[in-house]
Amino acid sequence: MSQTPVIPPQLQDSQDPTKLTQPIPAVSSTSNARPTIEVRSVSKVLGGNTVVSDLDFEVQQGEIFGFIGPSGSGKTTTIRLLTGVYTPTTGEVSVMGVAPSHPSRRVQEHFGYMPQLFVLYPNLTVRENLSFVAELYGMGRFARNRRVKELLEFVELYDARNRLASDVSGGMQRRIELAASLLHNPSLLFADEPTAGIDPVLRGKFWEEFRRLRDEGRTLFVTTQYVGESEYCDRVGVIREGRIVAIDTPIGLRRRAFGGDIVDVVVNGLTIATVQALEEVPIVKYVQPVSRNEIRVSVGEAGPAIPAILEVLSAQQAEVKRIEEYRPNFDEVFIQLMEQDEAARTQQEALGTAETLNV
Amino acid sequence: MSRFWKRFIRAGAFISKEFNEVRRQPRLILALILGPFLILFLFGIGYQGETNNLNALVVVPPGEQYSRDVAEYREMTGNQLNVTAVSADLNEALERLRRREVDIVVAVPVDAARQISSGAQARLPVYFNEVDPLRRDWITYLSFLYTNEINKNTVAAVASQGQEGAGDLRSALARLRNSLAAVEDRVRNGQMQEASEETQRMQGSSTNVQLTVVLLAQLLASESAVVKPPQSQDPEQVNLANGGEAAGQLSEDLRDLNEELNSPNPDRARLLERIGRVRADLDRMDALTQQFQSINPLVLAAPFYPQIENTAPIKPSFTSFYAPGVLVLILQHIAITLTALSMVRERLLGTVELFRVSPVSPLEILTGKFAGFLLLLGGIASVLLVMMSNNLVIEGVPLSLGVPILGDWVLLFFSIVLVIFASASLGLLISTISKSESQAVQISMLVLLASVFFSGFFLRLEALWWPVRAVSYALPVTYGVSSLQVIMLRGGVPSPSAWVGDVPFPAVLLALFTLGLLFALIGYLQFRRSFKQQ
Repeated sequence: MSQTPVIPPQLQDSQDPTKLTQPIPAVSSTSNARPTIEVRSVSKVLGGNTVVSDLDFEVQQGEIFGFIGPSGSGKTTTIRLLTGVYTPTTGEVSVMGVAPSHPSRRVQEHFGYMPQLFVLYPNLTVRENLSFVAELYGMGRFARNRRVKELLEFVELYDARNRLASDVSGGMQRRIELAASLLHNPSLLFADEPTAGIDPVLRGKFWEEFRRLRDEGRTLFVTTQYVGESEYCDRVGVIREGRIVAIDTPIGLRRRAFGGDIVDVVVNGLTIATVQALEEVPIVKYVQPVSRNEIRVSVGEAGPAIPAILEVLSAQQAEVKRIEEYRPNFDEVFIQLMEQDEAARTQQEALGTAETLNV
Repeated sequence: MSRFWKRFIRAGAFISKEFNEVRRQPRLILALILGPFLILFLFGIGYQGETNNLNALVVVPPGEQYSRDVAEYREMTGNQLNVTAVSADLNEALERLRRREVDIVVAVPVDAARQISSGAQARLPVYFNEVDPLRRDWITYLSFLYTNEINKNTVAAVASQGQEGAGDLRSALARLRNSLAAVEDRVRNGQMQEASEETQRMQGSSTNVQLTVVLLAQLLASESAVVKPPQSQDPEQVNLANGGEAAGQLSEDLRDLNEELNSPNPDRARLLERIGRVRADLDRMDALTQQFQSINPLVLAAPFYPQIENTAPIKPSFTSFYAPGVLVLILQHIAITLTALSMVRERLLGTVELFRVSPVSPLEILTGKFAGFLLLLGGIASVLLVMMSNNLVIEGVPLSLGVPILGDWVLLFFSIVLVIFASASLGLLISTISKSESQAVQISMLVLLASVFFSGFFLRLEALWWPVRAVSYALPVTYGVSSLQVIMLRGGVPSPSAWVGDVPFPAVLLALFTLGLLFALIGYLQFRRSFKQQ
């Protein structure tokens, strides 16, 4: 991998990431630009235990990449590998074109990092903590004061600015951390469970801000335990026991979990012949009766499938009461993916055992 | 904004952070500033010098002719020994010593006069029961001191008796003079036979007188191994020499006179000349005897006394003497503890992870922290120096210590800065080997303990075995105590000094800087290593 820093053109040259910049145009995740983050066959062993293995993914500039997994699955380790806190045991990591384990100061000025735990100073006030972080990024007094005020207002902590960090709630501490990570307008933000412990209203506001940053062309790598937050991401990586189970868009993940889109149909006069007729439609993968009048039809894509289903039902003289795409929530998607992974692993282990016995 | 300026901002982040963290702990500030001052203040008003008053018990065995009056012994011993009782039973006295009711038991010598007259020294037993090495040495020294004093008084008494005896000698010399006058009369009247007989009587009776005068002359003109009298023309010295010679000359001159008187044709003029020589001998011997009588017996017993003069620029009190040391010791301890705790806390809080991801470098972190501690402790040192040196009195109550600062303020400033720098560097080193805050505090306390023993604060460095002195030279406080005492109390430059151009450059401060640099370098390398990726 090249060691030349890849800094977004909008942030190159004389532009200082610590200056308040105008919104920059979003870069499509499908552009041909080199990925902001590239992870190739990365494993990390800590204390003799393999914490993550065979990580292989990339994150394009200007996208929100969500990293979802249960507690202890390796999300924080991955973020530490990307930020350069850890060096990979095997494999290669490239962030903005350089290996984060050998970062240049110029590249690090574009990093924003929100750790999982509160790591600022309990004896400093909220404002002093933010000023301290701003100074770490070399922000001058004027820009610092203005930016601190802006972010305090954004995270709704302006009134609490003079309270000691030790005297505020856990949720408020998360908001301080988020504000600290955004002080210098990073072009690449690593946020480790940013919404943990945050009320739903503020959580929505956080995601709104993330999307705004994304729309400015910034890249965000966000880990979360809230599966529902996958919907806010452009792409999502699902990690389990240190291995990536799936990487896709939220819709792609849903299709992967359930083998495609789901269409729920309620009809009067549902017969076996009707079900068989539907199963014969090439676009239909399977038909699952739910009740006497209701069936669930699995299709490749719901859009083109619904007219085809209606046509078959009409031919069968079945009276359609309701037909709509069923969108399973991401909890279901997540559980499905976990179960599939578990089944695949069990099968793999069984095969491995059988091969061993044959040998 | 230039990258160079950003470095300052990043380092400055730690200066303001450390200040704000300390500012949030008013009790800590109070302890940092008022604590050392109060310690010195209490020491100043509480310390009353060495507690050398020893309770003594004198044992006078029954039948001995010594006094049994406690007041008499107290008058004799002065302030150092407090004679509490006189006992007749040595065993009972030793039992009281064992129970530590008294510090010393002095048993007067039994039958001392007989021992001395038989040519032996009389034994003066002194018993004590002490484990404190300093007090043990002090009592031993005091015993020798008092024994010397007793010896001096004894010799003075003997000399006094000798002077009384010298009166008899002068009478004998007067009788000899009368006999000589009789001889002269006989010679003038031509009675040579009678003159010869009188001369022979004089020869017989002058032997003892001559011997006494010779001994006296030798005593007064004796040369000791330590003191040699100068070969001067001092009249008194000449008297001593003449007196001694005259005693030897007298028998010869009397013999010559007698030979002339017994010659077949004695010459009258020669006889009168020889009579004159004998008279001159007797005059010189009388002058010597008179000189001996005029000398104070105490001078004879102790011819020398010390004329003590301290050439130091000032005579500081105990508080003033120890104040620079306490200041340095406290500055070192605070610097070590603050730095070690600060670094360990960063690690435990997890902020190091934040630093690793940010553009701040280990060098900028340490520079900022060191600058912060330097400013903080420099401020504390300044306040303490002002409080120590001023004589602030409120309603008659002295609120400061009046510690003098005779030397150069610039040197004092650099010394304090270097002490803080070297101590903070040591604190950094300690933080790299401490896994927790309690470990850092424990190691800091060990350094404090080592500093009290090995820095020269209480015990002089020369008293330490030289390999152990390596510990002393590894402690910033050793250089600091020596420098501040010299600068503040002597108004000098810490020696050994060397010259760099026209500026006196104190080598002690250079050594302190080198030590600090060494600690800082090792600490920095360790910190940088831990700062790197895992």
